[in-house]
Amino acid sequence: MGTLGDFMKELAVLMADADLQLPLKDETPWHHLFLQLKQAKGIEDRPAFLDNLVFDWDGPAPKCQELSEFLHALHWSAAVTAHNPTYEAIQIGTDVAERWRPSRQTAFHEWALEQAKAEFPARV
Amino acid sequence: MAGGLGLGVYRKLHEIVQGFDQHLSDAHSDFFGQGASHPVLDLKGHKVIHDNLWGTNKFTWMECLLIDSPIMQRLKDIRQVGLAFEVYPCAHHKRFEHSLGVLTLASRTFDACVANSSGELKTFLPSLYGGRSYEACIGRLRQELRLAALLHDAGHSLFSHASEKVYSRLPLLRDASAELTDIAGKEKGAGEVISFCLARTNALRSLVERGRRKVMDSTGEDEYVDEVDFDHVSLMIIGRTWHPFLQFLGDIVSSAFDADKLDYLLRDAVAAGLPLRYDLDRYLHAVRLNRSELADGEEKLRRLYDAVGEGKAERREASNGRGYSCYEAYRLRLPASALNVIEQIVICKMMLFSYLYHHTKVRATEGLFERMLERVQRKWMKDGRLSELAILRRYMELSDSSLRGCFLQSSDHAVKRDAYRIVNRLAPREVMRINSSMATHGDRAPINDLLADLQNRHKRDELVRRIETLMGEALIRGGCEALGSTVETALDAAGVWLDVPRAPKFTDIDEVASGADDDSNIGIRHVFPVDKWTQAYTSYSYNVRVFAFSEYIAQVRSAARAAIADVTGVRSEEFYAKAQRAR
Repeated sequence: MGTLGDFMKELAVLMADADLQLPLKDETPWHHLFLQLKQAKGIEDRPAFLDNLVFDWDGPAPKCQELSEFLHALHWSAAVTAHNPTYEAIQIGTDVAERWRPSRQTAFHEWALEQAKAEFPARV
Repeated sequence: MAGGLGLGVYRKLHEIVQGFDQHLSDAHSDFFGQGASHPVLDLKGHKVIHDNLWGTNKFTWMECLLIDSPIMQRLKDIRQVGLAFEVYPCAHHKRFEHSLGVLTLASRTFDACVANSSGELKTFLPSLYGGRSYEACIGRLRQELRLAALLHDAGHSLFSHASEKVYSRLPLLRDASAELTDIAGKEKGAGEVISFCLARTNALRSLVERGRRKVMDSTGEDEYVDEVDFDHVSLMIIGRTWHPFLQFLGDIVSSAFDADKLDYLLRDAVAAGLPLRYDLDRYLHAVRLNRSELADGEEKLRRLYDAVGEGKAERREASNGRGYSCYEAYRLRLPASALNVIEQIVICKMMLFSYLYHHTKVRATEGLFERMLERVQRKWMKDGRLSELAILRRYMELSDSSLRGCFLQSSDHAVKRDAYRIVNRLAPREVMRINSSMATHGDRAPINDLLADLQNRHKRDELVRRIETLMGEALIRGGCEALGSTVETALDAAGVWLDVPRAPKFTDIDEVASGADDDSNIGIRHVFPVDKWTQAYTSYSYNVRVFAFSEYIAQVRSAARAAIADVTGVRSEEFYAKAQRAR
């Protein structure tokens, strides 16, 4: 769980398990969520990479370029699939989910998932 | 700019500015030293320069003074698209004409914004500038913007981005990039650090001050003679301004649809002979100012505006209910009715990636060049032989001609060998390519995971190193004596590396489109299927590649297969039959 990409994959699987939608076209909830994770100090198992996450303040909402790049790389590398025709949200295949699922669900995973439930819409 | 942006707390940036001042004074004492003699003669108020793309344009004495100085003249020997001329023989255009082109387009965009604005500028500009006339404010901002556009690429070194990839790994530049990111409140790279720092040198200010005393006829409307604020110029280079109401100026120089992009898309396409076009007239007809919020949830903008704007910028709670503070800003925007020009620009960019920037031979040649330069840089750094600042100064002295000069004449056998290969177009060959459309059902998950992980910024280098090491070990096991006995010698002798280009980004275009008749922002991706295009491009045209010298293709092909199989577990013949490149 040493990098943003690794943590995103793990959290995405947990979010999909919790029936949350994983938006692609509108990235805003991802950026809001990871800003909250960055700002949350003192939670057990908090990954160190969060301290160095850079957010651009160049619009009405924060945007982490690194997060955006990786989210889209997951899509175009076909590691995840997107809802056609509008690419609103991504889906994680069963085989991929098994590869990405964290081997140990930490307190920070739990906490991040709770924040995500408030931030992301439920899957229809 | 009301206050100054002191770099005292930003130690690395401060160090670089001082280093550049020293370098300019030492290397070009006639322009920047204590007893500088230039400009020798009186200066004309303006000059006319003709460009193959943008026609005849006027340049003020201040711009001409900088253009005719070593800071800009060195760009005449730095090709805009690196070594792409190995594929497109006419792509020899230089950073110099690009810089003049960006100035021209920035200026036209500014004039269009002024013409298309509905009186907002008249409302706030005089009060921002202490009651000066609107016309005086416009004249000053126009001049500062043009200087920012002119200097935005002044820090480039040989073969542009090809060398930037190497020197941006210097710890000094990495730390300075972090500092500049902190100042700007958005990510900034090594190239912007150097241009930002150059614009802040005393050398440059002194040259302009000396020139001001020598201007002959300064009465024309384009011949601005009053003061300019080079701190403000440096902020525009990084896409910021001293007050958020002026943010559109930063957008013109550095944003998703900036003057830089407008120039290089067409200049690169025309030089390469690619029939790509976009409608600049339509762009200028449509572009306008749009009032919107700049959120500031980590107080970075507050620090910036407090430092440079003496508290003139008003901070308030953002309207999105997130609890962030924000600033009201005027941004550069295109209405949805200009959708066609947005589409054209995106298509141009995508095609240039496909035809030119990611072309196999361009990647092979630039990759070899980068490896050669890395070797040189490692040698400079070895045992602290040269300080990082001295290395940076050396990059300021290097230009494309250095390849046929000092590198081809190098006493280091490997440097000389690689320079010889580059100038004689003996580029490495593509041995294997991997893209997401290749994997068959059973192999899809591990291959796609590998491709995604290679885009993970903090995993990419380690993963590339691992695959290259595995290839080196397989080559040694192959028993070819000419490849030596260590991973390093084997990879070097066979000219092997894993090439992972940065995937093109198109997500920023969302931020430039605004509603047609009202100010409600709409996402352009809702009306223009950029995601589908990006998906199609990256799935079929974006490749991760293994390169090797022609002499070792057979050995490297099998080594690459062993390495990829080891990392991914994929062993199917079908996959490797597609991935391996045959001659």
